[in-house]
Amino acid sequence: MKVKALLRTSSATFLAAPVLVFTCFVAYSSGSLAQYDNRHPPTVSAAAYQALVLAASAAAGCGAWEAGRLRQSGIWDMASWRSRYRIAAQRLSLPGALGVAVMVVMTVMRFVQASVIPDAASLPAVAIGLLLPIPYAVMGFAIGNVSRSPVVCAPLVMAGTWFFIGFAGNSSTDIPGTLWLRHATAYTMSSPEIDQVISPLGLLVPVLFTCAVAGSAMLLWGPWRAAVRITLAGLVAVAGLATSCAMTSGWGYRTPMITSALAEKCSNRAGVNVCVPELYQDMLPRVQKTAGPIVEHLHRAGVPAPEKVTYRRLEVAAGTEAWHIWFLPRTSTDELAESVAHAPLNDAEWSCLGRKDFKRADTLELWLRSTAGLDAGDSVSDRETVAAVEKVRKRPVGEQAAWFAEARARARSCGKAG
Amino acid sequence: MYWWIKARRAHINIPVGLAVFAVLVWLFRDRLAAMPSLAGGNEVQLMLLAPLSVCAALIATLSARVHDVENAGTRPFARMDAALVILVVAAAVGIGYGFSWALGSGAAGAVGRNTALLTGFMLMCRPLLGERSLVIPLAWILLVVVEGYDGLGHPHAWALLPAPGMDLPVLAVTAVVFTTGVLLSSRTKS
Repeated sequence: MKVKALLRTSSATFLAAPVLVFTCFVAYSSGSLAQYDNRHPPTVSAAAYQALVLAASAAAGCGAWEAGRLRQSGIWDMASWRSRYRIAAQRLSLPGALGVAVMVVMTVMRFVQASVIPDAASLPAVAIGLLLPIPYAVMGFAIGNVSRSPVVCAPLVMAGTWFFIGFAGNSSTDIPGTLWLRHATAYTMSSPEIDQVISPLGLLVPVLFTCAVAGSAMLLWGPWRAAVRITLAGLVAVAGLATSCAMTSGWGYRTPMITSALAEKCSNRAGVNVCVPELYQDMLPRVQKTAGPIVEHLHRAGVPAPEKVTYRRLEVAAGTEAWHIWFLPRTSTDELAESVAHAPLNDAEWSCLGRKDFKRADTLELWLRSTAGLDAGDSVSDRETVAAVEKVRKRPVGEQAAWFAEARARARSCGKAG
Repeated sequence: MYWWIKARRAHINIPVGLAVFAVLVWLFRDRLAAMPSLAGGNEVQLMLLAPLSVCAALIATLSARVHDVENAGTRPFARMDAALVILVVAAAVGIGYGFSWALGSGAAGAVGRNTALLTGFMLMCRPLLGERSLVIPLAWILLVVVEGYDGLGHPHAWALLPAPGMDLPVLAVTAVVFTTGVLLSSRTKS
């Protein structure tokens, strides 16, 4: 079939403009920039998977429509003269291209919004993301093939794909035995931290799952006897689904990642030793300028000064007293200061204290903020907590230090006493 | 009556549509899924999709007309079609309330009303679009998914579908839309 005729008659041509415009709107308006604004290309490439639900449902819906039209026109039954695979490939080229185009648009927009250039580590996720809508187009085509009416089937396939991917990505966690579908559909791909890339297995599973289903459907169109076709299709489907299910059996909620050590950049200036990842070395002066006075204020109030203030994902030698902070390139100075004031206790210690004595955790947090000189006016603490903090702050430094040490000891007790 | 059911394939379409509907209601319950939206990404009720299976079954059945026989006018086919639509939607409402009672699901309590509303919209457009009118409930559902919630995840009043099952204004709108849809559809011969 000529390209011009294909373009003129394909449903994908008519759906392309609204779907691509909608993708641009979604890319522009949805999702917090903070989710992928870390200058780490693999995080940005994972953020583009948000469009998979659009790309897959558009491709599957168009595929179903094309199959129904082929069946109605009798072309599908010309298998003696033209291979069904050739017919399907021709008619599926545009639905598949539409799905790929949606992913291209979302990927490009995410990289532009994050002002990041793709690197070698992010390319596998980008490539898999671009390819994933194609098996969905084949699945839609297969369903459209057995339907009597493309007008009824195509919208159902489109909506069904949309909700299946949404369901598998979100709700499979509370239905026992279906967590593997979350990894198999890849829609809710977890964001890699700046020292992580998505594991090759994490990318292989969605390919295996979708290609197994699409491949088994394609085997049903072959020129062999029905028994052979059905057996082959069943074997491929079962093998693909079982393998992807087995591969993900030990995985948790998050997509598996490969973590590597981050290079760090530390300040040479006198005062507190501040380290940031090499990726954020341009932020080092600002972090140093923000952290220095806060550490000093807290130390004067009785909080032991750390040997090092470092980024949360950076490794610290055993025995080093370090405060871990977290920030992104566009994090404001106020938020950065809050992160430093929060750092005398690590996440596990805050969590432990919160579970054991919520009021103490609330009081300690407000005390750290106000002692660090941060504006406590926007704090959500109640009047009782504010009064308790004012009372502690009026005490001599020695008593404040003892009060903090007691709170920290309580926060560290979970590791010992559960 | 028997030939009418056979010609319309109602004996296949309707049980399959209602069975799929029941499975979806049982599966979806009050579950939410994060979907892309223009309000910045929202968690929407999966249950919004369930009525589509009933709508598809109904439109496939109503569109399978045997024109020559039906145009002869010896049987009141329009009234039979209307009765079929009312019975199927009543069954969907019953399934929804049944699951709502058994599972304690608020979304299941509203799914029957949503089925009536979306069926009403679809039937209102049927004289114009024929079998293609299935895209109307689909478009409404997708519109609610992408634009029906504000940035905090609260549904807009116009979205109708996410409203609680016993929301009186939405029930009134549903009654009007469904009645109008059935009346308009029974006059069409597409």
